[in-house]
Amino acid sequence: MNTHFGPWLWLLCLLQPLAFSTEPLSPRIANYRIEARLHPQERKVVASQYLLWHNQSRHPVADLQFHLYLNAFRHTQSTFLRNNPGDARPFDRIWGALDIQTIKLQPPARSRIEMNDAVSEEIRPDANRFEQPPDAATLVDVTDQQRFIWPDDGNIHDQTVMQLTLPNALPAGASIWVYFEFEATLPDPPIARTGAGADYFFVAQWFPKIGVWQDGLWNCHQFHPFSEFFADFGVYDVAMTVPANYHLGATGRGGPPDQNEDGSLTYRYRAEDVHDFAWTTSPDFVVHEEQVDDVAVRLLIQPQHRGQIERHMVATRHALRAGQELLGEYPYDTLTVVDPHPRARETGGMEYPTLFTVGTRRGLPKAVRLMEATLIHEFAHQYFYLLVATNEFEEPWLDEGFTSYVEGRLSESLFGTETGILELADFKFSDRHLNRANLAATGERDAMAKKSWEFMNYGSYGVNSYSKPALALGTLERVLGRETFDKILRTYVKQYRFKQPRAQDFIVIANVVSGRNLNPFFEQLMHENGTLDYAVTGVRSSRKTSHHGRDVTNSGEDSPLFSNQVDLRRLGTFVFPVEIELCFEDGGCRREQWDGRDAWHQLRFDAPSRLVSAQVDPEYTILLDVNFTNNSRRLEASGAASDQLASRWFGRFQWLLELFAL
Amino acid sequence: MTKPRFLHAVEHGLRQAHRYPGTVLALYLFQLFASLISLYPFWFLFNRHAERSLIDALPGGLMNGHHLIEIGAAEAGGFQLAMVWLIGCGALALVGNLYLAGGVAVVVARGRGDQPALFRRAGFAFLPRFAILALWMLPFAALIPIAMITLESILTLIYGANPDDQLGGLALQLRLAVLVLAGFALKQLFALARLHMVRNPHRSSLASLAAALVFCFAKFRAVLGFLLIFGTAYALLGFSLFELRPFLPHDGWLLVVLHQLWILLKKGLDVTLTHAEWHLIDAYTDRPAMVGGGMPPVRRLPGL
Ligand SMILES: [Zn+2]
Repeated sequence: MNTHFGPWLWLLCLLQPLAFSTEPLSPRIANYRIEARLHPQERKVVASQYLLWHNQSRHPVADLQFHLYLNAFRHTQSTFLRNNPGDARPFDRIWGALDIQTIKLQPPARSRIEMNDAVSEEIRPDANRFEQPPDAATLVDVTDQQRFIWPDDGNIHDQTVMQLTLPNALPAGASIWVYFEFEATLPDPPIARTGAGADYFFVAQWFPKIGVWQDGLWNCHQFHPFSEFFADFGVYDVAMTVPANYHLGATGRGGPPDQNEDGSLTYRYRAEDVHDFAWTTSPDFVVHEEQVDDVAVRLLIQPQHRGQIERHMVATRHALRAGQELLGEYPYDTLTVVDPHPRARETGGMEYPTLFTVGTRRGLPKAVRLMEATLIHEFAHQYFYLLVATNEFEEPWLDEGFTSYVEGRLSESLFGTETGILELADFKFSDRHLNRANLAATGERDAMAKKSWEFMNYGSYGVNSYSKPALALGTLERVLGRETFDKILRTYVKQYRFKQPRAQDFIVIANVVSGRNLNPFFEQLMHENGTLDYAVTGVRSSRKTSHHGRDVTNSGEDSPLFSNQVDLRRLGTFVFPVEIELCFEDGGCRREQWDGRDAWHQLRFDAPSRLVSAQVDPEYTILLDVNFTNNSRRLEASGAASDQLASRWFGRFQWLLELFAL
Repeated sequence: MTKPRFLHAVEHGLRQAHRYPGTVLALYLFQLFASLISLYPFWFLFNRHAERSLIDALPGGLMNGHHLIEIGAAEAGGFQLAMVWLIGCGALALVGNLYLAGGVAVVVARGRGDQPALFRRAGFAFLPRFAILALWMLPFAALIPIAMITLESILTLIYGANPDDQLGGLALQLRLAVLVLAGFALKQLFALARLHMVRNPHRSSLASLAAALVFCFAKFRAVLGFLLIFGTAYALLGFSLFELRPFLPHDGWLLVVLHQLWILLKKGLDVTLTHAEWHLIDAYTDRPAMVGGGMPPVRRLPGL
């Protein structure tokens, strides 16, 4: 830095605390300034982008790697569409693309620092520099240095990862400006999450996005069908120009748009300490704005869903309040909720920093809470994706699993423990029920800890990334107690906010906070595909007979005791200690423990009362148990339960048959 | 001042109905039997898992999502069979109801109270002809989508593109009501065609249907009146069950009893309204019925 400005610099340093009243919340590694213009007819975004990237590792970097996500939708030979060909239909569509016309670089800025007689050279990022990008004309053109690579599957047709060789290696601690000019074409109809439909545009994963430089290697995966998120935090300053009368919502905070001479509008949004930027624009949106505590909420809803604004807001308010209570402060001041156009439903149910999409239908009954569940889910992603920025490619369950667990917690606290998703007459379902149904149906196809593209199929990815981890966390919540578990969750979020933890980091926290060794549990959970199922298979009780036979002197009196027996079985390979409740004819109950290791376990004991029933896990704490119905057994058969059900349904069947009556 | 024909006919039906206890009971028992038979496999499948298990430990008992899903998964094949069984029962109930309809129409036409032997013979005699008539009814099923589309256009006309926003839950209820009324209208048309066929057994099924249609237009208000009576009966039941339910005993026996009472009343209503319809048709047509005057010559009935 030029020392002639010494005195002024001091003044600047004094003013610094005013300009940046708070320290950056995150390590701002990847910082973007983008100027983008939407061409709605061509489904195109034409943009220029400055990236200020900071090498905060201890290793020099010889190349940079970028995600070009939209190229996944170029043709059916991309890794994404090869593995999910259905998403490409119809084929007479507008295909997606991310075409880069220009790439330019600015060599790193260096400064010399004298320390203890030794002269060391340090290259430091300067926060102010992000506000003053270099003039593109002065940069070195390296457009011809780009090439596509396929680190995951060697599919040479895939163009979703680009490698840019640097003329000189970027030393540890240095930062570099990379300038792009590019055209992003949005698929129409949208393909999985991104695209355009009618005059609705959902612009996500749309710019050349740098991968994560980790331990001297690039972590920059191709775009796979089920996962896409892993990036470094930074600042995004994005100007988006759209036609007049278009409403716009985006990551971060923006002011009112500037009107351009040609009538178009330019919206400028800024987001700090996030790791992605998405936006949406459409003239149709009905915009509802509401301040929920410290957060400015914007709901962009389709006009035909106007009647559901309050429904969206009830869920949003609850998510924000109960979510912060459970997981700690939501550190941003905006939240944008987007309702996709009916012709772009594919873009629904997706999370981006401070913005997410939901999706509803006209006339969706209030008792069907799919919209609310999705909304709460996507909000929960603001913690497990945005704040705790795990690697969704490699450990999808850390992202979707925690989110699904929180979704269940929050929707149950809003709608009731049995009715989080559906409440139609006798039919009541919550996340818990549906997750357990998934687990029982397809849980054993894979182990949970796999990379997203290594699962057998979408169903197996889904159950292992959403349902099983959500149930595992629910099991921990019940076994350790809600208070302890919530402390684990909060500690994890607090310790790893704005960081990129891995599964082991969570396990360590769980062990430390609970004071237990949970490693055997996580070992089976993550690396094995066994099911957990404990059952009572037999209950017997008879009056104790006196001994008879040779060498036995029989008193001739009947014993007042009963010989009781309970047969327990472990039907799956997942070992988990269980509690057994034994209930007797005189109304008393007592509990026994079983470590659950053997394939079966028998309890035989004499008691003054007849044993009438036995139940493993009487509190239903082990949500991973795939069958609750076989958890209990009674001595005497009883038709009461099925008779009661039948009496309900008898009337309904009569109604049904009355339809055929003439 | 003369009474309106419709009320007169209903009054006539009410006065006659008490003479047909056996007929009403037959209708009811058939319905009861059919419901029990179609329910049985479901009861069986649930009971297999429930009888030894502490099902009530979870809220909702067997209807708790956990049990529903688990038993559903364990018995997936069984439930498919039970569904096939249910559909089969529905089809059989349809045939059975065609048979019963023939019996009811003829004994009502004769107007001499229960006549079990005539009921049976007439039921069998009219079954095939009613079946053909039922086939002719199929094109009229298009009435239902037409009614729905009409409703949508009316709503759009009044409330603009998004009636749901203006009406909220009311729009859904309106749609449901129109759907149910359109269904009732179909059943009404079918009933009138059957009566025309009984009245003039030599007429083809298509001609009977045409006669019923003409009648519908001629006595539009009366037909609308019948529809409203049916609609009110169903609405009353639905409303009272919905309102009563929280006060009924948990195990559901009183609910079952109330259901039976309602079904019995509904069957009585069916017989009453058949009387009324017959009365109206009789008054509407100058030509004496071939089964006429409540005294059908038995040999004139087809197949008798
Ligand atoms: Zn998710």
